Amino acid sequence: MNLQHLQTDLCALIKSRQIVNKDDEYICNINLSQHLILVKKIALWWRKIQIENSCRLTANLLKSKNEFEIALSDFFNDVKYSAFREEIYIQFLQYITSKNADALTVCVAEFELSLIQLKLNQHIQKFITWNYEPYQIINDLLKNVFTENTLIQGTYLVEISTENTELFTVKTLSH
Amino acid sequence: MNYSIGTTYEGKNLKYLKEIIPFVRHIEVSPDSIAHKKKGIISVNEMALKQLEWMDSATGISILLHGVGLSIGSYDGYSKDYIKLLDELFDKLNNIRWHSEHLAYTMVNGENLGTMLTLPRTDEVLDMICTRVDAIQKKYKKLFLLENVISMLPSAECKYNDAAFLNKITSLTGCGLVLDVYNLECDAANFNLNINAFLEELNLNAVYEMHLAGGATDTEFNFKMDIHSQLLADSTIELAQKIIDKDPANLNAITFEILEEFIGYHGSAAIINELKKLSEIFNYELTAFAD
Repeated sequence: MNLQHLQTDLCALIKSRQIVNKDDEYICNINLSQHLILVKKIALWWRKIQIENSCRLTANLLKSKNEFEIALSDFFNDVKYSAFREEIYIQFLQYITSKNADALTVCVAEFELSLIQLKLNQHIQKFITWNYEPYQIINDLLKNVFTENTLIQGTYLVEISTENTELFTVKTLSH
Repeated sequence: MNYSIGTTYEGKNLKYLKEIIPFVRHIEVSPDSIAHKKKGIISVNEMALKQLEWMDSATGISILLHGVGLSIGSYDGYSKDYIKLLDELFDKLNNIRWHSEHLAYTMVNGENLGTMLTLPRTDEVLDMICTRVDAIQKKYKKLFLLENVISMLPSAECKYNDAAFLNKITSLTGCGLVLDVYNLECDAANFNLNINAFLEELNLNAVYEMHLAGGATDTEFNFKMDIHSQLLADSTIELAQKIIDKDPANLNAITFEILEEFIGYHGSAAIINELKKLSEIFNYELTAFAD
């Protein structure tokens, strides 16, 4: 087997996709081996430590719902993510905002992504409507004590903008 | 011989950098870790670059560039983005002693594997790697080193053993080696690498740098992982000493690798202790300097 076929099939196996050379003995052995499970586990572990430290709010929210590992695994398999760690967590947040069905998760991920962009000196003006009181949520997520039981319903407009002196502002639209 | 003792730094904590500088002669930086993309163009982030420029001009500490993302073994070519980072760093910094990369691949068809895999040790791969090493050495006119990585999967059919393959590459291209001591321990534990036989066969005069690190064992698979999360085990230091006892003529630097994510867990005092320990064992001159 030449290098192209070998690498393409190993990539497919790691990403849980169909292989091309189904008759190749080495690839078939790897496919059935514990080593492949281990490689996937370690690859996920690397993404986990890169992402959970850089997207603390979103990671803690997903963890509170036992969805973090699944989200990571889906991201790992679905996204052609960057080789550069400073890009991976941004891509993860973009993935969550585009794929996650839960409105609060999308809100938190959009909020965190906007703060990161602000920190990177990118020009930004983002308005995000939250259906729960944001300060309580952000505070609880930062302390990793978030629970849905403490959510306060209402409509709140959060603005993250390079034009503002504060990191973000919150306007209460309704209680 | 006194060896330069150093450690890894990922460009995010100047306070930590200033704490460790009195205890090192070199700092190893991964260009990948200090890169960001702006308007679709990859570059070194400004804050990290400023820190490196300060270190370069004000401290006398050498910088070693150690890549993760070149992916020199990808069949479809190595990373052009990584090369852009090297271009920028070589342009801006004067005190780069050498640069290095893992003898492995992380990308296939433009997709990140999320891990680093070893290459089949065949003539096809040998030709490909040598051509690429030649091109890199010609471009930067700076010593280039390749590092042995751990095996994650059983080897595909190979013509050469590990040591013979490295010897072939170094003799054909003139490049050097980073010998990762902890990786040898991992391969011995996971795939029964005979370290003694490997060291007997390897041309140790090609080794310019040794990496020392501590990792962890995955208990589910009983697999020793190369994750740079721990302080050094005695066995790793003993193996490093054993290699030094073989008198590798060009060995110059010993680098303690620790991931940024685990520095806080151990604390900078523990990292400094490791550096002092390495200095006491391998570099008496530096110990006097640091005190």
